[in-house]
Amino acid sequence: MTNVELVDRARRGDRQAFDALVAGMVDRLYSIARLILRDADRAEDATQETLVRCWRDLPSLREPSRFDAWIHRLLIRAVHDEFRAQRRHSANIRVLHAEPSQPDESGSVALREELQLGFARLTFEHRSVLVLRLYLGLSIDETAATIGIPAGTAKSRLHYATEAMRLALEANARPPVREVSA
Amino acid sequence: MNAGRDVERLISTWLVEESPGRAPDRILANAAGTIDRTRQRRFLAAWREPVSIGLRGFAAMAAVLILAVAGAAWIGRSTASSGTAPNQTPTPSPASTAAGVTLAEYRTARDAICDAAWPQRQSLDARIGDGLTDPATPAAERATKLAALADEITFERNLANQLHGLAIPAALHTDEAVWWSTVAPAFAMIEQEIALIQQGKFSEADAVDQAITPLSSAAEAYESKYDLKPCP
Repeated sequence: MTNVELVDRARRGDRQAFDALVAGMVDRLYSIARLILRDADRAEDATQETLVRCWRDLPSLREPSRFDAWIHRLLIRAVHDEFRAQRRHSANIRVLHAEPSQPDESGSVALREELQLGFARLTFEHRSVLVLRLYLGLSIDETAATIGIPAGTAKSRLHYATEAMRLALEANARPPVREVSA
Repeated sequence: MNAGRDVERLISTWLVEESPGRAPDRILANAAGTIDRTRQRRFLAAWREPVSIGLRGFAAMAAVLILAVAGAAWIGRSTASSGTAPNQTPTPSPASTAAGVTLAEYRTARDAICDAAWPQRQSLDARIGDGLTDPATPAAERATKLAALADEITFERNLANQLHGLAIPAALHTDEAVWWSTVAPAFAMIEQEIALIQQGKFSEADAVDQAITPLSSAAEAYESKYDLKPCP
């Protein structure tokens, strides 16, 4: 059965079709949430919330062929909610810590840590654009539609985020990194 | 330009490496537990995912909800006395044709109507598509979508009348009356949404759409309680 058929059945309340549908995409949804949030527990919560909202609101999806784009929108919204909650519950100033990297053949541990630190400094908006565009491989237009912003804004955010990451890579030596939350 | 692309490639590779790849099994298990207790939204108004509503939208939603609840209560009383609701084609009172009907017979008859209705609903959905409240949608395209939405309301209204006209078991009378009392307010609200979209008041239209949820829940509860198939 194709995904479109599964969507069509699921929106009519067919729970088995829904389970089959989401089983094939939960890994991707969780990966996106985890990359943006950098927090396994919150990524789990966001993914779970997305699945529940998906079931509840699926009858409102008029074009089953656009299911992927629709559920990505739901995910970004749930991730945003978790991101805001994360910021509310964290201290105003906190020391960021990079997850330990595994040494590899090219000895790029430092590079990975610079990427991690650079990414951690980005706002939710910039992280989302980077992950949707550079991890998921969406076009600028698709990225913009998923987040719900104009394509020009998505392009500008991508440019800013990439530039910020480039600057992070150029800075070889850093003092302990501190982030000031709003 | 090339340097920018190099950085993008670097970030892309790093994101793939950082990706967990596989989700913990408990996500699906926990979600399934919640979904077991979650009903799907019914009624046709929600053409997009839930949106964050601003203060203005929230005020509109609250106002509409009050009107809807008051309307549902009034229509409930009206239905109890006359067997019909305003703005709907008069139909036989179920109570007058219910003698001897079993739940299984009612379920079969109702499910047959609902199953047969899905293809037309899909066709209408395809005509409406996305972007109804997207400010970027060209006016002519929006007008076509709105016309299709109006057709869908007519279709849904006829469908509701057919369902209400079925002979139902006596034990279901009260719950069916509650469901029926939500039908007219829900359609009235969808028509209100169309008017708001025509005026370019998209956030207010979204707010009205959100306010339909409680009415939608009544339909979901009725279907769920008696194991009836979801109707378009």
